[in-house]
Amino acid sequence: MAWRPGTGALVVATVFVALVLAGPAWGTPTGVGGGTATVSVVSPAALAGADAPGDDSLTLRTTPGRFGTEATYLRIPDLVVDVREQSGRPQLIADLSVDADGIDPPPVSRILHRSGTHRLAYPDAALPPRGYDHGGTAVEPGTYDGHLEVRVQSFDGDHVVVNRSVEVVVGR
Amino acid sequence: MGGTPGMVVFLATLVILGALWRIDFLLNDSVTVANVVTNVADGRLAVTEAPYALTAGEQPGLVEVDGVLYGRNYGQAYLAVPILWVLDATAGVVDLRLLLAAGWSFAVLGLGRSVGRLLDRPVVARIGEAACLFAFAASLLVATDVDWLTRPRPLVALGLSTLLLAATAATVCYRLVSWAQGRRVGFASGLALAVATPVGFWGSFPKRHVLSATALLLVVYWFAVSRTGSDRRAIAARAGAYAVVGFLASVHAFEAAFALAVLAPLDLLTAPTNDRRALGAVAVAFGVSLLPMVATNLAISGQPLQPPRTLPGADGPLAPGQAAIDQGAIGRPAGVVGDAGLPLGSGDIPGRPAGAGLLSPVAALLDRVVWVGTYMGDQFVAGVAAATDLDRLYHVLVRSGWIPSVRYHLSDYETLETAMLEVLPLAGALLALPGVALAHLREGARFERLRAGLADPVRQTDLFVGALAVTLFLAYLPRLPLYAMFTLRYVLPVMPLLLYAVARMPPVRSAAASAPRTLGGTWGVTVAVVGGGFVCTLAVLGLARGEVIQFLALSGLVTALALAAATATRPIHERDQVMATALGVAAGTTTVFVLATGLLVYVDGNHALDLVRLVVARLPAVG
Repeated sequence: MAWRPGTGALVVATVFVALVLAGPAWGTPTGVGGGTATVSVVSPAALAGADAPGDDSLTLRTTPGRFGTEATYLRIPDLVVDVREQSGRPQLIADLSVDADGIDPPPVSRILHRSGTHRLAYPDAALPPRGYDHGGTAVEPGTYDGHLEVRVQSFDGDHVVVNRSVEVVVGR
Repeated sequence: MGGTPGMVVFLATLVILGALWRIDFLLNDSVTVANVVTNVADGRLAVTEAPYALTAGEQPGLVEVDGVLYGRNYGQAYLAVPILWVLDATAGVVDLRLLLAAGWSFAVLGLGRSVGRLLDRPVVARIGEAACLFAFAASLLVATDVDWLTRPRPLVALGLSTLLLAATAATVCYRLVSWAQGRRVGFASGLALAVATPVGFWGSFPKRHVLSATALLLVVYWFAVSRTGSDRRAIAARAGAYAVVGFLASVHAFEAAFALAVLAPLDLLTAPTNDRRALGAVAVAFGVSLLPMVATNLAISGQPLQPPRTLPGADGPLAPGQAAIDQGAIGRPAGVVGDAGLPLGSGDIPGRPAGAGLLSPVAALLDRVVWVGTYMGDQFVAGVAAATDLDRLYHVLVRSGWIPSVRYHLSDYETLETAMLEVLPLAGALLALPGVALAHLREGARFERLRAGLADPVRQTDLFVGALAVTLFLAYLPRLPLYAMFTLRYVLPVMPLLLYAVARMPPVRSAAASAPRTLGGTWGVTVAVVGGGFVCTLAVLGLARGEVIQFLALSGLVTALALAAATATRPIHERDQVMATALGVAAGTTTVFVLATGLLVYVDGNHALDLVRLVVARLPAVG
């Protein structure tokens, strides 16, 4: 069968024309901007009633690493939220602080582009095994106080969604 | 390019690794190189503008000479700068994100056309055209800004050059193995280099290791071609091999020096002719190719053989404000891991300040040559000594897990380091080499036969590949295992050489040539099954980053051992289908590693393609 290069050239021309017509500033911004959103926590359950006065304390525990990792991990559950009345590009940010040297998980955030259910994944925090002596800070087994704050931020304002104490149990 | 199959390998690599490409830094020494690209594009070697770092201390490898800051890996920057000029020229006309989407869509189009031509099925070309249109139209609908970087184009140019180099490496691998083993084995090897070795991992981040790997593959290929005759083409190839080594010196002088130390004697010993014309061409090509390094070094250190990375303080972070630096913009090096520093020619190596004493320029040059030779000898001896440390070899070659000597606090205690067989299970076939060699000896290998064999260009290339791989591996071994290596990145250039060695093994050659459908089919099923299993495991167990890497590493090790067993027992089962299946599973496991790390592990909403970003947002997150 004879090779027909015609359609390929047409496709290339179409893409080029669209590229030029779209111009140099076609993409939408990805960062935080103005706007607002009403956010309620769906999961974890201990935080679901955070808007109401609740006394369920959230306890986070360390568990051993798997597949040959000898670190232990502070498993921090994903935060699932229901977003309503969204406008603009507000940011959902979660910040867990623990009253222990050596546990310092960084805050996590995501832009709320739309209403609906959103998941904010919190990376597990790895702690060194006993006897690790190359540097860093070892964390002794025990129970530590922590604090979790979840906020909706934008250039238009800052709204606290969750402001709870957290118990962190570091096992052996 | 290698005709239509070579084009398929090139474009398939671009399409796959382009989809995984993230406009970001994995290691903070890439920040330095991205800043170098920015400044070189503006016409200066000095780093006076640093759009990707707030302080000089965030840029490992930055050195100060007479109050002026310089970077390193200038050769890598020289390759990226022309791309940056093109990107800058289009800045006022087209959107950067859409330009990248259009480029990727064109690669899809080209791949469809090439595959259609290869299979003689025009319908595949039509599918490629439709996919191209769809990809670009969908990108138009969901396009976002690359606004996490104040000045993204230099980093994009660096990433693009790395991507193109990875695709070039795959194509050269195809041509090299085709030359030695025939097209089918070459085609499989080229694709394997892209998706079944860690080249696929590093192709989507702007590190120099892909450049080194590509350069050394080119050296091997041109060495091979130049063994086959003494005509103009062979001489050009021979000169080309030296020219690539010369250019590599502007990226990493010691890697180039080790390559030259292996190339020069083996080339002279095995070349079809060493007449004046051939040696003249080699001398001219090598001399000219050294110009980028020599000019850069002269401008920075004043010594032609003193690259920036050997200057005092090259490894230590400099205090902010030590030299004038424009901190006008702050990048977002998301998830950046600190680099371990340079393996060769860095701060802990006894480098000398420029302009040593009262020596004349010639004497200083000779002194420098002696120093380089002494250093290389010391490093090689240290490598041989390190090779007797079985515990070290076990963690470097076989199994990583939690390695006692690694400073994991520098990677937040995550076990991200992997061993050779874990990320290159195809090398498992090499475990059967002693058995193959024994069988060969039993068949009555005599010294005369071996000597005659060494007159064969393919055997000569085997010898060169073996010597180069062993030399580079030993040169880096004293530094390993080490944190921030991810996939033993220092020895990444060795991995394509190992792939060549695997492809040269008779059982592998036979399987790839006679059972390509089994090989490809098993690879596809493995990617689907292991990939699907991995995603399910991730969703159910909620794995952390270190656990994900170790899960994938263990999968790789198991398949490497299975391949080793299949290869070792080849004389018993005598079935190419078994070998092809083992090869496909091993290759597929690495592909899952490349995809998983590129789509799930080292990601932060930073994929170059919006379509990929949207897909990734719907996948289970790494805990």
